[in-house]
Amino acid sequence: MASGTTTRYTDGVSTIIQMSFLDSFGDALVLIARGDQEVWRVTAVSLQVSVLALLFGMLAGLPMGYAAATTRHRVGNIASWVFHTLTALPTVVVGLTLYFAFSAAGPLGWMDLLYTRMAMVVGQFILALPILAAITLTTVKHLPAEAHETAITLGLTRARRMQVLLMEARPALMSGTLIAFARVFTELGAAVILGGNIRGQTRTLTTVIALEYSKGDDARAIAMGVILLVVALGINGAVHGAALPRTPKRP
Amino acid sequence: MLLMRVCLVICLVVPIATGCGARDRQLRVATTTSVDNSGLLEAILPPLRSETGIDVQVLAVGSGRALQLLQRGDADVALTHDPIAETAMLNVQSAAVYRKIMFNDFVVVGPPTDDARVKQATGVTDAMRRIATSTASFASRGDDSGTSARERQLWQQAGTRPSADRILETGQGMSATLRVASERQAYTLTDRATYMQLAPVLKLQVLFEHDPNLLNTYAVSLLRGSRRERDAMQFVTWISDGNGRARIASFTIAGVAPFFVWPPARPRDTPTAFPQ
Repeated sequence: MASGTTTRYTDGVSTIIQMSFLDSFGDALVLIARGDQEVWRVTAVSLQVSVLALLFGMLAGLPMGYAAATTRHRVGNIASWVFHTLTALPTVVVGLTLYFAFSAAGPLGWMDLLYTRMAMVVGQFILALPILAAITLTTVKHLPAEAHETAITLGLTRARRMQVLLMEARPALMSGTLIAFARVFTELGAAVILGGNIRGQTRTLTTVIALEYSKGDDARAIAMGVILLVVALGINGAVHGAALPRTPKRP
Repeated sequence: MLLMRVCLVICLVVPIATGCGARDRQLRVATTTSVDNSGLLEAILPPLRSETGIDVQVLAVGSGRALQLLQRGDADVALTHDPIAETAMLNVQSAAVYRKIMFNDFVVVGPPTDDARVKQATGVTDAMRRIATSTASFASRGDDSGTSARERQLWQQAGTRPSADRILETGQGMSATLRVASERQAYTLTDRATYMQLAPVLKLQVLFEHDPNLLNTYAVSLLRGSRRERDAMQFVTWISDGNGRARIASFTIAGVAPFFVWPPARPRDTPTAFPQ
């Protein structure tokens, strides 16, 4: 136990007898430094769910966006409108809708997914998909005409052509992926409704912050907030930073 | 080439996805935020697990939602404190097993200045009337929880309520509502356990307590014929008659017991059952 703080921790249950943000903030740092098990557990769950949702989102979203960009103009325009509209899907409405679908009394109740991490993955997948599809569509569509023509004249298969053109569009696709990751990793609405904030199972960084706040355990809430902030900013910063040198300078 | 990539993605996804949907001998207990926030479950669930092998997943929601989750089959047991909603549930669910397990009481808390002079009230109805006729604000749960149901009932008994502009309806759990009341120096009705848990960070005092109308009783329910009926029944038996009783009785927050186990001689199978 950190001496000088006024917070007692017993078994992860804490009794709060402090008032100020600074005290709580100090205790939060102590919690992180002590490597509190619960802290790492929720961080791992958060990462697991969001990374999985993002991977599925890319597997589906990139081909969808590509297909819409290379199909007939009219269809592509409608698809573009749909994808861009859906990027504004409210997280809590996605959570609510899937809750009714996954509920034991709902149409997908037999899958027994409600209050599992997989249910959260599905929710976050739906949030990530339109962003990834929309950005792929716009980017591929606006690649220089030569890129499209070269891919066609080289006589590549459809799959290979997609691969080449997506590689061309890589910088923009990476931006899109980072934006999608940020959206799902930091969202609360779908995670809390679909996961149920079950300790050790579906408790994520965002749901635990809401919980600790409601319990009045400011130190833990702030500790989790700091970690969420560091991981979210850290991942996006590191990935973008690593990719920077590859972005060509404009002539 | 493409095949290799597909394999690569599978190799990536499978390890990350492990355990995402797993659910073995897990029992879902939907409970009120007041019970969850008190830390009682965190204290009694590990012994339950070692004694019975039942792994409980806790869903912290309001009493109304907990009973609904039970009836939809999304939760296996409901632990609630809303006799009116529980009665409504029992009326339509003939397969329900219902048992009171513990009780404590509600208290009226408010700013230390006590502008509405609730401290001098002769009963809780009078206390509510004093708040209604003062200029003070009242923080209201408004979330279909057991506490919000009791609050509505008390306003009804008082025959009056504060004007709409003085009601701060949070729509959130008890702790969040207490925080709002503290920040805005408003009165509110709270269960004693949550107030005790949060008291150190609140600028609120208990201003009225000990009235028969402030009794707060907690009950567990399950539905016969549900998928995990056996484990649910074992949980209910453990908490109402088994070692769970002693665990509840010995649970304290800062040295004070927030819950009292249901007296053995008292009836406990109806929502209107009374412990005293």
